Amino acid sequence: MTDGLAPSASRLAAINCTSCGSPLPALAGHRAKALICTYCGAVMDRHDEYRLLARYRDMQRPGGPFRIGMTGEIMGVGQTIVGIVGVTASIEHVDYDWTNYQLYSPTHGYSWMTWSDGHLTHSRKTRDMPESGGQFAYKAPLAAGGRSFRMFEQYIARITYLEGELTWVPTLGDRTQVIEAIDPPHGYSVVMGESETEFEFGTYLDRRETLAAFDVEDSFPRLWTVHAIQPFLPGSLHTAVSKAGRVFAPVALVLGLGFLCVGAGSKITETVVVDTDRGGSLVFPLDRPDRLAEVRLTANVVNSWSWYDMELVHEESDETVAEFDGGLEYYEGYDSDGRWTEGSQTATFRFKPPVAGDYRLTITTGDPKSARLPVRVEVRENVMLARYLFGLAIFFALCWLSLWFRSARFEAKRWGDDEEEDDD
Amino acid sequence: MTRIVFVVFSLATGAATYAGVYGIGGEDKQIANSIRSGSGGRVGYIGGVK
Repeated sequence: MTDGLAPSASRLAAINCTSCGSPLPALAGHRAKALICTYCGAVMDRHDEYRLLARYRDMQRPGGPFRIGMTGEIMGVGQTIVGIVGVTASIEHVDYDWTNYQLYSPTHGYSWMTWSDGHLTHSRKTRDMPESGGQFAYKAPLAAGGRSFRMFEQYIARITYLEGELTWVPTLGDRTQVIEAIDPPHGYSVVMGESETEFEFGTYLDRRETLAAFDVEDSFPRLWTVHAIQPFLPGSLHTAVSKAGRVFAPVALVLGLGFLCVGAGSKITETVVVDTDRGGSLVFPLDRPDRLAEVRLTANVVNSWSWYDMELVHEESDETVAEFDGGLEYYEGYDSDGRWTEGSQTATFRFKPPVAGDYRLTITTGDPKSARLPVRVEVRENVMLARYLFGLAIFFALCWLSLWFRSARFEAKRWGDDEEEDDD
Repeated sequence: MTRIVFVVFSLATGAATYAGVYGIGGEDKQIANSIRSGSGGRVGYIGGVK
């Protein structure tokens, strides 16, 4: 058994537990120091003829998808699971449990794969010490290995389960203080034991891909938490919609503003009807039946209202095309909040002429109680509507920003900010 | 996927531009109904002042 043993050969190796005699796989290389019996919990010294060091009976194996002896590829490197360590930690009065799998690769040595709440991460020891940020401070920067991390949390981890071959001689209940910093999809941990401090570099793993690599069916519950180093990965559709929204929102906005500038159309004629009781009329040509025309009434109504009956007649045929009515109302005053106004001194009526030609609009007072004021009548054609483009601009902007909102929610969930909001 | 979404958004922008230029849906209902129903088809009041 050496670190250079090929995985295929290592699968064949086995030894018997020196305590209970059960056959145990010997998969790890020479640097693995301890072997913990799966059946009786005996801790044996691999470097001293498997001498019995301790025994931990009735350990409850933590949940997780892997067993000792499973092989698979992680980030392009063939790995064998040689040991299992159950860990628990209390973080802000909440207990968290996770399962560490000791991995062994003849070419890359030892590393860890962690199963936590359905998330999978890979970590390995690194010699890169923190370049800054010696003490934990929430969200404070921590530079290490050429990367800029942000401190995420610190906790004391306690070992609750041991099995298989491990690179150190563990004791059940061993405690280590851990400072975790993150730069998704990577993480950096400072692990402070009683006698030494180690540094670990972690990477978030795609669960489906990793389980498939180890021939494990992904029948586990859907992820509902955000892991500390889980990257935000929106789907291709949402990414595309957001990208397109970013391009099209300004386009629709500019077009809408353009319509607002030129969409009032061109004035064909205008007149002022002084005595609306007697009525007045104006004749004007409308050449585009497919475009909007507009009748605009303006009167100086103040704290009153006026109402008008209107008739649109096609000059050539002398037929009434439409009869309609409408009015103006405008009120103003002062209250405790200051000046207020309500209504408008202008009203517009839009229509499409049934055919091209000259039209006559007549206007008279429509209600005996109506205010009698001179009314200015203006007719415009080729009126355009900006509302659709503004609506679309809002929709496109929402498409664009939705990705940002999702990302912000994801980050809030990662940092626990959403829980703080809930607590408030 | 991006190309498909860009095409869909382009079509939507084109449709909104067309609808804006030709004033689709911009007619006052009372006048439109009156024109549709022929002479004198007054339907209701605009503005609700009366």
